[in-house]
Amino acid sequence: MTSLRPDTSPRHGPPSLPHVGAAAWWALISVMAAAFVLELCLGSVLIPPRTIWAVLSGREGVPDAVREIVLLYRLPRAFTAMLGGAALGMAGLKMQTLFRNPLADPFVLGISSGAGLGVALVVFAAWGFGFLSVLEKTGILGNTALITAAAMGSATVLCVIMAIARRVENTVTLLIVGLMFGYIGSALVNVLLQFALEHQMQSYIAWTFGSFGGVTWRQLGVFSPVILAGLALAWVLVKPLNALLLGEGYARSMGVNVRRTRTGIILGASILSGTVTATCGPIGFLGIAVPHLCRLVCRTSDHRILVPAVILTGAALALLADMLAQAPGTRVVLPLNSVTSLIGAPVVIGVILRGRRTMETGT
Amino acid sequence: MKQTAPEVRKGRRKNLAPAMALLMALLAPAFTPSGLAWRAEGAEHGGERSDLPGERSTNLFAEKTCLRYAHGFDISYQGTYKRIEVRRPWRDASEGFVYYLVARGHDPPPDLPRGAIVVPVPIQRLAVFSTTWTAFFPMLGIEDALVGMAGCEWIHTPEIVSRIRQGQIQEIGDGGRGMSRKIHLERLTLVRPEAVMVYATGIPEFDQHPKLLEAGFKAVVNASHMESTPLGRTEWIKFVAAFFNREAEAERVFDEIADRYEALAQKTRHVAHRPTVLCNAAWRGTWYVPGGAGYIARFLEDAGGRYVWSDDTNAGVLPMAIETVVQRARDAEYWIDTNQARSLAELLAIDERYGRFAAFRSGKVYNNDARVNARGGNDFWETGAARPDLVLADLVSILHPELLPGHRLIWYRRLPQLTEDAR
Amino acid sequence: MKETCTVEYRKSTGRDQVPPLETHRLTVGYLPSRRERRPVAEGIDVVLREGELVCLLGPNGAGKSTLIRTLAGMLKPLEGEVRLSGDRLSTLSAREVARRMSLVLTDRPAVGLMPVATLVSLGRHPYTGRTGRLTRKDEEAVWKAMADVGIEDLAHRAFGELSDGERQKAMIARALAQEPSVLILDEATAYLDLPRRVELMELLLDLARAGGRAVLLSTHDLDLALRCAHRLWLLPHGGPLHTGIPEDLVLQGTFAEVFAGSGARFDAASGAFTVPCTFRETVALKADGIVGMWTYRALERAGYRVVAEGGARLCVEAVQTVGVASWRIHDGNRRKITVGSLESLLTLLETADRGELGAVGDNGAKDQPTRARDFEAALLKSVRS
Repeated sequence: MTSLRPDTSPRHGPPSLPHVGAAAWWALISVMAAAFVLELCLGSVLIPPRTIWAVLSGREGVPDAVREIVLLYRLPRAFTAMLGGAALGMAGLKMQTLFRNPLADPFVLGISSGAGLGVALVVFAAWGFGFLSVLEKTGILGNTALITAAAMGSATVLCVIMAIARRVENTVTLLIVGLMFGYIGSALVNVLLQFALEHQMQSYIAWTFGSFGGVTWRQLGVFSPVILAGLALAWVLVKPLNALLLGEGYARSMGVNVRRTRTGIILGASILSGTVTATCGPIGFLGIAVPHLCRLVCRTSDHRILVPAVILTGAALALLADMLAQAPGTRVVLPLNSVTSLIGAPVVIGVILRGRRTMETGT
Repeated sequence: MKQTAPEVRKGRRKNLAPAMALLMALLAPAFTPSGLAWRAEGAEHGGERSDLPGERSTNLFAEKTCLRYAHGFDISYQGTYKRIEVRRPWRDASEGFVYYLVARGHDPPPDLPRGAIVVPVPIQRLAVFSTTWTAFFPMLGIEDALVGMAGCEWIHTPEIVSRIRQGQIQEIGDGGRGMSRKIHLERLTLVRPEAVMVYATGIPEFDQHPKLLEAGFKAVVNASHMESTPLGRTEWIKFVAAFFNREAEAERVFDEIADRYEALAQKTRHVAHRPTVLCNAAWRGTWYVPGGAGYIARFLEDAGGRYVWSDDTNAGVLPMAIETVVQRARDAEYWIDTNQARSLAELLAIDERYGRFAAFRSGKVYNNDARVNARGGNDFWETGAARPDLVLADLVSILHPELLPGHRLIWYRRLPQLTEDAR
Repeated sequence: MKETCTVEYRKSTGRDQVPPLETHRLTVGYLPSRRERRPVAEGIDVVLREGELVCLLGPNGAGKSTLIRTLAGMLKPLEGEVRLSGDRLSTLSAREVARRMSLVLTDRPAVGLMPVATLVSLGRHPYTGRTGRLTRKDEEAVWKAMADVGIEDLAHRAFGELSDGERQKAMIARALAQEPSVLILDEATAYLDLPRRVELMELLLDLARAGGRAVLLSTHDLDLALRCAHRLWLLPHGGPLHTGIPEDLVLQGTFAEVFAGSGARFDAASGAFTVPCTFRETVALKADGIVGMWTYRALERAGYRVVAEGGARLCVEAVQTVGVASWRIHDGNRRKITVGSLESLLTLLETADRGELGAVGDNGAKDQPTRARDFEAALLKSVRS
């Protein structure tokens, strides 16, 4: 992507500062668009592109089942993947910048453990109701209840983290506290697992696999605005994020309100990662791999470039992972989490092995 | 397959299982009682003593067993002992288990392999890990021998329940639920069982038998769940019976059940229309559906339905992408077994796209949770496992109500319709 | 003298109203807990003027960092106030402070891949809008900053690829891009080698003088500070802060006092710290010029007390002929030995210590100029055996 390299052409007056050309952006957008189209075309059931186009353009003559598959299953899935991938990448970028740690991922503050705990409570907890969990008994077990519970779990962890963040100066301390919350959450879930019935355990485990496919249009109607809001918040924080790259001392000296920025970063990243986890289950690796990939390809740590790049790349990568998880042409579905790990880990390894430590000053 | 001592071959029936089945199916109503009598006679004849010196007591087992549907185990009678081989205890098992059931008061045979499990029969104290076999006990009249059970709270069988209430059967589980339930070894020791019957999965975290063997218990692995036909599963009643020398009871009981089953299946064999049936429900994008060669598929076929994946050749459970399910099963006429959803509203809550399924729209959605007790025990897996003929009746009544008028569903129920405002 | 200097400065800057930074009765320190108050230095009244390079010196742990951070607004003063161009620091918004004052710290930024020009442009933070987009004016400021520091050709290089010295310059350029009137550097020369440090000091001097800024540098580099700084601020343990021009502080003994320690002591004559040791012998030295100075240093390090000619039994005379230096040693017995290097001189003196001067090579030594090399060899041989 040579046009992403800085512009070195001479001009009158001071030469222009390094920037990313419009051509590169269009290239990235088209990659994402191609992934979107591919996602629509590929799935467990083989549907020829012609038919898909027929469905999308509202033509008659398509069997109901196929029409439903495309409109009710694949299309929302594709949008969910795009938004989810962008959200996770962005949350990962923010965490990596805030903690200045290349290994930070969106869940480093224990958000996904909170979500998992919420889900476990909903699915397992049999508080004196015999064998049925509370929600099973009251008959509102279902996707929405699950999402709500996971969201509440994440939100609880978030509130605690924010309360602690107010008192703690040192960011590393916050990181450790978040990690510990993660462990506590997982431990509690394991305890609950002991008392689970088979079907409940299977439900929980299926949730941990992660999936973009369980999201209907109605849920997307709530999911999308939240994600878009979170992404917009990230865009607003671009300037302070850049300043934070230099360190909190420098950032303060440039006029950045470090505390408020930190709050904003944590809030934004947690909303993004918490919402994605609540809706799609915990999805790993995208949050770490996408920022590193973007840093490497764009050859910069400048958030003005990275924020949009991460959004586009995250969406594309998530679409790719979802496509692979569908194992097109076969009947089975691979766990999304495994696919993202299989894609993400080599990316991170590749980035590191190329000798470019994208977050270090280098020696 | 079966090795019989030369002495007893005289009175033995030959293995004519398929032919017998056909014969019985054709002449079932009239033939059955006399058939049973004939077999009993044959068994009795087979109880001749040998005249060879030193082999006076070689034919202690008057009643033998003959398997018609089950392929997972094999019993051979060697005079003073029986040798039971469980062939394939789990899907990828490379080898099975062998048990030597020695008549009480007699020595085990010499030259047994190391670590061979020898169980004196008839057993007087048995502990059991799964509720699937519970219903066999009263049918064989051996419920007094049952002293330990994992999951006492889930039992429906009245005789067992009363024994539990009277404290004659102790709970041997550790309080865990579902797959993580394990045998509580201390409690088991207090029960002093002569043998413990468990199932095995091949997954070390869940298998009980290695620990039991280590602790010195005689663990017997029952692999009835590996059978791919409903009758095959139930035929393991004979496996259980062998430990109590109740083969005759087992034969009688099973034949009755099998005959009724076959008769019912015969009724549906030539129906004009086989409604398509969808099974199970999904969780977040993946359905786990029964394979086309498994016992559920067999049930549906015998009930006169057509399972939408009847062309599949797996016996186990298949993970299935939801798209594939939609493509194949969206237009299925019936939806049977919806896992945990207990009403159409709940199904919708799980995924509102279910509402577009044809079976949903017409309200032909059934689940097998009509007999579930307060603690979550589902009788379908208990009595239902022992009475496949009744399960079949339920299914036939669902799919072809005209064939069984007046039948009231036992374990299945139709999911309550959506109320107007819930729709 | 002092007055004249001050007047000169004021004249050159042309503006003598409000100094860019000043403090009033400032007490700096920190609060380990709510109750405890730990002051580090009290009652500080200092002024930073335009065009001045001020170095803040002090022993480790005296509180230089605390003072710097309080002046920069990162720490709250325990008492008193800091004023930037007349306005109280506490009343200014962070953005306003950033427009008047910028810092160069020892933090290592995590911007390995970022091009230098982008890094410098981060300094425009207080001036850019919400998204940080640079206007023409901003870009010009960035380039001017890079030009001032002299790193235009590094504009498109990745920060991580630069050498330590270049990186420091880039961080200074970033600070300059903020267009501050006060530039504060905390140990900016810490990781650099000597030539780079000299370069940096020159740069800072230039930035102060030509750019009309006030530059405050906290450093451990006493030598360079003495040479280059317009003023020094000396902070000893427990205060108070001494200020003045370097030479005054040396002559008044303040320097020696502040850095008095159990080990080294400050020697006003040489302008450096010396390590005291016990002298073993007194040697008279007759030499001048560069040779003389370095002979003096070698003798002193070897532990000899050096006095003027005639003040000791042993006498060393440095002779320079046609650009080649040689040394002649003679003791009171009129024995003379000439050597060609200071090393042989010192070795010879050691033998003199042992009373064997001229034990070897005595014949004809006083009459003929000997070839230094032969003597060296003989000397070394005698020493070894």
